[in-house]
Amino acid sequence: MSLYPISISETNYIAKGVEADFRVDGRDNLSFRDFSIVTGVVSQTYGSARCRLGSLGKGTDVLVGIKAEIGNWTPGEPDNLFGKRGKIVCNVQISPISSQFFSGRSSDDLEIELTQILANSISLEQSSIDLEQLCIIEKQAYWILYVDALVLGYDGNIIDTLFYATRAAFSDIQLPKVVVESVLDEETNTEHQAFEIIDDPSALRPFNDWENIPMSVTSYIIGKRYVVDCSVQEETISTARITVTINKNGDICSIHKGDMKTGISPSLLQNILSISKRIGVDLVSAQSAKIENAKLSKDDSEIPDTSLTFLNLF
Amino acid sequence: MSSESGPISKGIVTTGSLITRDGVFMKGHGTFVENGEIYASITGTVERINKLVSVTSLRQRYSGEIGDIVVGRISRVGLKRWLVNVNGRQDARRKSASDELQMRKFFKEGDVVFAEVQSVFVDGALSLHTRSLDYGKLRNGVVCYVSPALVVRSRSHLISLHCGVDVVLGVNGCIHIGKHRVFSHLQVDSDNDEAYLKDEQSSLESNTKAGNSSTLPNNDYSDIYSDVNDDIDISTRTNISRVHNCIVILDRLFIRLNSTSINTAYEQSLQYFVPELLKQDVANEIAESRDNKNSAMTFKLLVNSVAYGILSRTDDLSAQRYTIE
Repeated sequence: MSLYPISISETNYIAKGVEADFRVDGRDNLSFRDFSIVTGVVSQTYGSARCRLGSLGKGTDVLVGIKAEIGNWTPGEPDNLFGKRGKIVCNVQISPISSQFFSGRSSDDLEIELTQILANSISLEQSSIDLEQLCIIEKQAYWILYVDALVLGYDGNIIDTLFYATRAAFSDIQLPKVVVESVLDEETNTEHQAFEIIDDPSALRPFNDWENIPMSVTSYIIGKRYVVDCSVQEETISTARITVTINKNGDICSIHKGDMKTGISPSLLQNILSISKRIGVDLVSAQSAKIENAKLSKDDSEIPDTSLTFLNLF
Repeated sequence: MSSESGPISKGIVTTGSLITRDGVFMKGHGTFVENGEIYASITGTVERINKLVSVTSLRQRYSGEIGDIVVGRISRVGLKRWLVNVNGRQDARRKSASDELQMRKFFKEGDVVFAEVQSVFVDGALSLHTRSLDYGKLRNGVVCYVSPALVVRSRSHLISLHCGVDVVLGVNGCIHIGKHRVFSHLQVDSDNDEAYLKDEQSSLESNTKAGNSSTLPNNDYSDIYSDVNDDIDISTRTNISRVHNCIVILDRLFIRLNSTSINTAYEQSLQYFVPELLKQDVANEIAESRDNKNSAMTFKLLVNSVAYGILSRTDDLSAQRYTIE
């Protein structure tokens, strides 16, 4: 992205810093900024989370809400030929308040790109998410989960923040329970299945194995080296971007390349993959701990953890 | 408040709150009149100069005044002028008296310039000048943006810290943090004269070196418009980053930026490694240690923060410890 104007001397200063493994805010090339997570921030959703990355109360800020709807299976659906699975539909929007560079339609391309990356990593086979749990009646009805992400603050590294928030939102999902029963049609004397949603706020079920949702580690190439968790300035001067998604077992689920000003040598790519794997495993456990924390503090706190109080964390 | 002027709200007002019913006051910026009563049209602090009542918002865009020292970024190069983004309502212009065919030789898009407001147009646009040799392009460092309300117009906007780092405070909230250089004409708030003089000589040497290698004929000008960074060793780089992180902390805590606050924060930060500074608990600690030294300032900070919802939880920044003095 080259929305941020930057001068030659700044570019040189930042690049030299990356070379010396000492970045503008003092981090080394492979360390992440602090991030904080709250879950259950939007009451109208089935699951929501907000994640903020770095920069003491400002920084990159992503809100994810997940809504569920019941879809009817039609024969020949791609990715769902046998009607045994549910669906996840992703959409990412960038709010103009996130940065002065996103006004009007300037964020459209980025929105599409982010949506694609998220959708590829979550709703396809490679995500290793069990989509069969979203099936209600085979070849008839299933849950569609709409994952809507809104970027509220932009200070670099949107992609990773997006994944943290999405994973946390999945951990927060509470779907209503559905009862499936056989109904005998008296006219034709055939049996078919029908379902009923239990209208009871206590009869809810979580989304199983959300832990398998991958986290992403995005590396930006600056000069001959690469950095993770970029600031806006670093993103601006970087020449290529690699997003690697890693699940809790440390398996690489997908690799995306973006911002193509240069190519990447195979040895560098291999290096990035192994480093991303190492960082990713740490991130997954750090994030799971934060989600646990967020849930605990929500239970015993008298002050409701609304989005506003989170906004002003610190 | 004199008795004949009637009651007037003090302190912080929100949009639509009544400031005064008294008809003798005149409405200033940030207010409107209805039925002879003055109301606030923005959230901020009430200020009164004689009969003029105005409201100053704390998180506002920068509106320029003649003589302001600003740091801006070139957003466009025109035929006869450069447009500079100074985070204001309008882009500022920097008029050029130089060769019109070589506009980009002087300033390019993205360059950070250090300039003074020459005049303000009716629509709020500014005209800048870089007439002193100390103004011009800034290099050897990084830029960071803070709330414009935190930089007050003062005697000196150049702060030379002990550690060999210069901070240029733009009134528009744009701050450049870079390696120390010599400003010959402007008043510099330097707390270390000896080091300052020593540095002056070395910088003069490097100036002439840069001048020789440049294509431009005039040594002085070549330095002003140079894009090439000096060699920055790792200790200077560490110090620049430390000052950068301190300024970020001060901005988030809504503490005014001046040589005292930056120096104090810098000294408090020395017990930590630079990357630790932007972690929440460390930043809180630095903030708390500041409190003891300057409680008046932090009290003001607290009032401001509560008004803006920065502290909406009691456990944040241990708000209950503050008492009104």
